[in-house]
Amino acid sequence: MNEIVKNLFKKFFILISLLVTLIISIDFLISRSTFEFNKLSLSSFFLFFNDFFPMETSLDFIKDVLKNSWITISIATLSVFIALIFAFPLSILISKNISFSFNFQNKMTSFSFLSRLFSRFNLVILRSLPELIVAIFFIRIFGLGETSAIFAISICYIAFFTKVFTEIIESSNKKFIVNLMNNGSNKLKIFLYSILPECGDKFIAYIFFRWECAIRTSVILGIVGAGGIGQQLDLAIKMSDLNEASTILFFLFLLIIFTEFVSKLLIKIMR
Amino acid sequence: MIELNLKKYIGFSIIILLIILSLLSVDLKIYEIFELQNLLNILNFLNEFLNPNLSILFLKKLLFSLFETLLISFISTFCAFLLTFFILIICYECSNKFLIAIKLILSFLRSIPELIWALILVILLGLGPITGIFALFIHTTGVLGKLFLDTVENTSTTENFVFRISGANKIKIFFSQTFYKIFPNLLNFTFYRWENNIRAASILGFIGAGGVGQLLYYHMSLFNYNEVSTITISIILIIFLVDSLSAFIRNKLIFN
Repeated sequence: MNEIVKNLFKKFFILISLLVTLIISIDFLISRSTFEFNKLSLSSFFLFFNDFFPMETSLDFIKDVLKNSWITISIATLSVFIALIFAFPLSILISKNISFSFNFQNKMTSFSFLSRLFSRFNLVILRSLPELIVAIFFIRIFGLGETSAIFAISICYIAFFTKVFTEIIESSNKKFIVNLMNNGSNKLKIFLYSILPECGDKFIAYIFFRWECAIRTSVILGIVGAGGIGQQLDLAIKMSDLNEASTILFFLFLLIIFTEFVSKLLIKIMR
Repeated sequence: MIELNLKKYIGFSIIILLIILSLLSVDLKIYEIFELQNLLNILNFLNEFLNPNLSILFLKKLLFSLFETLLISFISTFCAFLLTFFILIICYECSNKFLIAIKLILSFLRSIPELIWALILVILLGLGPITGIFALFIHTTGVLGKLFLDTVENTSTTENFVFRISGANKIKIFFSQTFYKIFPNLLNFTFYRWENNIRAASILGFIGAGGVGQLLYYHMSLFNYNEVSTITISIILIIFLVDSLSAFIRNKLIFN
């Protein structure tokens, strides 16, 4: 009985301390923001929602939205394509599994070890940098437009792709790789004849998953002026044309569902 | 090599068509990298980037906003986890129509990115981190809801029959059976979302929704590249920290 009471007290104490820290931190955050909760803010809340509602349904506007959503899709596709061009060779070079010195002498030469470490370190840095910040740097260099968005997304995605591809390659069957190596085939041949037939499905599934993510990111990049449906939404909200914004939001919802459907279909076809 | 059958040919041709069509509709200028002016711009940018501002006054400010970013991501993920868990209990073995309606709402919340939610909510709730919390909370609820409902669907429910015969209600069955099977997975998804949310929280400030992004945008607009480089390095560090912490928790504590 005593132990049960003790246990209960422990749980209670943990819960209370969690709640207290939550309340204190929320108080800290409220003190740093202009958030208010009273009758006026509530009424303005409902007024704001009223503005959304007769949706803009003129044909010209819908055509414009469709064109912009196609631009969003094409930004995502191209950036994934460019990232793949760099990511496949990089992951073949980086992965420990198809290193010649590692397989024949059981340890890598210092040059290859250091170069691998260096490139992995760079990739970690690239992976933990949000795409929007990279996009802003590129916009400072190249100016507004789709080019900087494509470069930003592809540079960040090279890191994501390379990390996962290396993991996939390193988890593949070692027997075939060593066999091919002993018979004198180079890294590219090992990749084409041993790894691609074995883990092709995994590569394709990850590529399409990232494609969906890229579409979301390219929508976000529209906010800083990189084109596509995100920019149109940003403009509509800044001009307070909220009925236009509601149409765009609806089409965004359709766009995301459509891309999920397409990627599922393509994965099924490619298997 | 891979064996190519008709299906794979069709798939490849669709993908190549998609790439060509998108190349035609976007004005991608790859040659722009090699223009002299842009190369000079890049060099200039890197030069100013390499001497970060490390004065104590600035670092104090930066530390506060980094703390704010962490809090935004943590609180929003935690609240989203609680709400989604509540939704999960409501949806456990409910009617099919109700489930479809809930899923539709969740997919609407999920399909609109965090930053767009923040863009709308900034007008509603004003500037500051509270807006960021709400925006992340809404999006995370959508994502976690989908993942949680999928995990519940994939667990076996054959044993539930025995409990129902002996007179247990839905909630009791949930907490005695399904909860133990899925709880590690739920925590795994939540920590995975936390990694995504710290990334989002660090850029929410660009539209005035709190966090370290606000500081970054401010100094970016004033062309103070020394401060910008400090902030960027700190963002990289904090995201790396959260990533490794969450990976540690997921690998060691949840799945042993």
